[in-house]
Amino acid sequence: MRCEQRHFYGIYFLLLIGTPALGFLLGWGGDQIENRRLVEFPVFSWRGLLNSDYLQALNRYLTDHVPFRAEAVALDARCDLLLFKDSPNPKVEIGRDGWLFLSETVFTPPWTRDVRLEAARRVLKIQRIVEQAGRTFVFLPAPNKEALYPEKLLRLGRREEFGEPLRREIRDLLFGTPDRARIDMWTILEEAKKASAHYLYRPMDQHWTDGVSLLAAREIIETLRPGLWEEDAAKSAGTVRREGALSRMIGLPANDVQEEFSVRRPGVQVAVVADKVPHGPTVCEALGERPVIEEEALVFHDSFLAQAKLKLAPYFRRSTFIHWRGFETLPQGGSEYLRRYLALFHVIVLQTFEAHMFHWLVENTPGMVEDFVTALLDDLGAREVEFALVGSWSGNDGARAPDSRGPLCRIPPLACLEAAADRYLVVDLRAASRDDVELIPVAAPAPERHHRPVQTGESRVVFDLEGVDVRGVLALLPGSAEVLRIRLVELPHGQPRK
Amino acid sequence: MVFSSIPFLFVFLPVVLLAYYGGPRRLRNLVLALASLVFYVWGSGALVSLLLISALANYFAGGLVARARKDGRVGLMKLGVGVSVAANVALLGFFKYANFVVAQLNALGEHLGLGQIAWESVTLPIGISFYTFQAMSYAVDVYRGRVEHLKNPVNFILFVALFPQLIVGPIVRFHEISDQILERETGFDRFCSGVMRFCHGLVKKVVIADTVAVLANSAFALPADRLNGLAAWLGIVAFTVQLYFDFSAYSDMAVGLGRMFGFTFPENFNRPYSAISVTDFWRRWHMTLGAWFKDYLFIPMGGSQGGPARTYFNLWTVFFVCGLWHGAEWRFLVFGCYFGVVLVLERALGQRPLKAAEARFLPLRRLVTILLVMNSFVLFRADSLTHAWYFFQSMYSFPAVPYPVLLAELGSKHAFCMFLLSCAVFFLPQTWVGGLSIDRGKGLGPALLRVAVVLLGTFYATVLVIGGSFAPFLYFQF
Repeated sequence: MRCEQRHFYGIYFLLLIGTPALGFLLGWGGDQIENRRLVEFPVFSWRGLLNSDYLQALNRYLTDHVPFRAEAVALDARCDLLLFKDSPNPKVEIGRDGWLFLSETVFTPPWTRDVRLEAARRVLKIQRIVEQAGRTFVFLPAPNKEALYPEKLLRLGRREEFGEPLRREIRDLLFGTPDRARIDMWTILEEAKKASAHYLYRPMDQHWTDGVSLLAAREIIETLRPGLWEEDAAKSAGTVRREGALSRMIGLPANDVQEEFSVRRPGVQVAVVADKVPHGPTVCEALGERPVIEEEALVFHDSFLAQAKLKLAPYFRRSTFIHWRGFETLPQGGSEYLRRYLALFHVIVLQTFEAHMFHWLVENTPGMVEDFVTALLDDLGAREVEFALVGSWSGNDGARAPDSRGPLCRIPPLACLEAAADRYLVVDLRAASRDDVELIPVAAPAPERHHRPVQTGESRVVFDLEGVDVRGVLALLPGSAEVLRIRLVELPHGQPRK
Repeated sequence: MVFSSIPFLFVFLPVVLLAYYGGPRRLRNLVLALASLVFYVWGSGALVSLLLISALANYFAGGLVARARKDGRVGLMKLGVGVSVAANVALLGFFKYANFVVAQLNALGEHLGLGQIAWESVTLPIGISFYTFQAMSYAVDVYRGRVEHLKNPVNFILFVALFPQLIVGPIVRFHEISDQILERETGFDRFCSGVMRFCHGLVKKVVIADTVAVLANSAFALPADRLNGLAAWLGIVAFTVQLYFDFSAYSDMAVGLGRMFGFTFPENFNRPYSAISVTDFWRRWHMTLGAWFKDYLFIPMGGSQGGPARTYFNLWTVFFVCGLWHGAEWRFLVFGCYFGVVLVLERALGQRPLKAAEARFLPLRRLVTILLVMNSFVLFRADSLTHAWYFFQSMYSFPAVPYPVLLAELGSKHAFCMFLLSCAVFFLPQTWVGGLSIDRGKGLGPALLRVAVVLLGTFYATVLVIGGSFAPFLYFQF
């Protein structure tokens, strides 16, 4: 190779690395092209330098602020699309007519079957607990986009093999019988799709349109109080262009055009009395003489129903909205919030994105069912509602735990314990802490078989007996606590108590 | 800091090139030594002190050996070199293997119902396996009279810490580079030659290795109930390709960077996947490590001079230590033992041709060799021996798993295209070496290759490096 050629390549390389380097000096970088804040320039510290934290932070800063970043990302994305017909971001699936989907929902991993069904079972359990405690419960799933628009998918993933059958299973479980959960948005949206020429979901985004959020709000209100929803109250706010989050994720931001709506009931003013940005809780009050749902409502939601907060609020005297993402950041922590305040609410609405049902209801809030039980049992106890008392025992009987950790309180074998769902063991103590009291089947006292209480307080612990192997003799290991009384209780069945 | 990162390409390298070529010639070694230390600090922070202590200790040991050699004091020479080697082995042993040894002792203790050793995990300093081996070569080379003792410790620090080959090699033995440390040829032509080699490595790493890695990672991440035979084979072939393109790319970049600063580093790869025996493979794969082991372990142990049994033992020991050098895990020990056994068998059966002219059934030999190598790479890539075991089961029994993975789930079309393209390394002739052709080849073919790799490939690699910084949050929107 001739020298000139080699020198040309050398100069080319110097330009290639030198231009961004010069750009750094001139402050060209820092394009905000993602849905997150860019890393800020790190503050120097000797300690940070020595443990390399400072330079790692500097790496992240330089990576975020490199010049020509937006151009490189767009070029990379276009290369993938044009050369390979691939999605530039594996998290996004490219569909027909430019539609975008979330890959994780299209390529449903089949091994999540059990856990996804578990999320549906939890919904039903929460519904049972809430209704047995005399409250009203509404569950509203937001279907995955491809559940409504499979024809827009280029590749079906495992949809036919696993995705659809699993969805059918979940739908049957949730809505298969008349007294099961409400509201079946799958069926509602399937019918809406047949009836309307407008898209129900945004092509560039995972979410449904604002029109569907209005429909969801309507379904909630009509489920709670038929006839209350006023069709005239919903007004078009015009056509709006909104950037699609999925298009941003592939590095080629694009807008969706959609009609947006607002709800204004004549004679009703909505006051937002608390609004913690970005994920709540948001507390709204409807003022005025028009009929509203007087019972206080608690709405757990994600971004699908977030658009509908102010569409729902005019129909509730007082409503509290909590985004799942804000659940753990509540002032007292999500679990403590439920335990303290859940009993105050008489309408509870649970909305989740289909793909994230397990994520929100099981994985991120593992003790949620127990928190519901605790809060509502406490409330029922406070109001002196009669538990169906199945059995009662008292005091430590002097036996000791197999591992000599303390005195043991034995509970005789009970045939009635076999059907343990909806039954709770309520233990009254002189003093207790979560670590002190455990429930163990005596036949298998291995540590992993111990059951922790769902509720602890100064004077009471509650065990949920669902899932507890009660075929052997149950024993209570009170540690240092002194047991006063043990009751096996069953939540009252029949008509919800008002 | 890796070579294909934004901080290296657009901050560190331009600044160091400016300082190196913009400053006085006599300060170049100092500039490069300081740059190398900054490079190390950038990735490892205060652990640079360990590198400096190791370098200085080896420097003084080398000085002691040199003085003893001058005075004719053989005993002191042996003592000096012995202490140097022992200290380096102890250093490497402690930082690389202490966690592993304690974990095994604790597991044994638990099994036997004994107590546990209270132990705070030791952080593994980046590149310790490489710089310890390099530093160790100094005292030995001085002891053997191959080189003179360096007068200026800065030069020795430069040898140990030289950033182009500090983290992933090639492992440079002192006698290979001692002259260049004192005096080396620089110039724009040589610099440009280094640039072309660096670009070749950058393209291999960013455009091919990182893309094919997606397939390998997906396959190796599959649980047993989804991993079928097809996915397992695809995964291991993809990993075989990825490993070569990744590792040889780093070596290309190191050689190229070295040349930009006037150094000539030894080559580390020579078309290893066209090897016709496993012995041949190890002469083509990570050549500088092989040369180091041969020079400083195999030959001192007696090499092949002590009869077949002794030779087999020496050979097996070298590969056992080689496995241990790769990592403190059981799978690496098995990896080393496996190669030790295969090499001994090849030698014992007389099946170790090194040149195509010496062998018959060449395609079959190449196929068997690459299969033997791929098996070892399962151990290399798996997370544990258990993982490797079920991966082997999938490769060889084609189990009917309940939820077989779809090919589309393993990677994008882009990844599959790159994978198929890169599989050419299995079929290209033994004599064709891309890096050398790009730099020195004449005629239309190499010219087109230069345009494709240096001009277009490097631009695309730069786009990928910058574009790779794009990290939107998936869950932000929900």
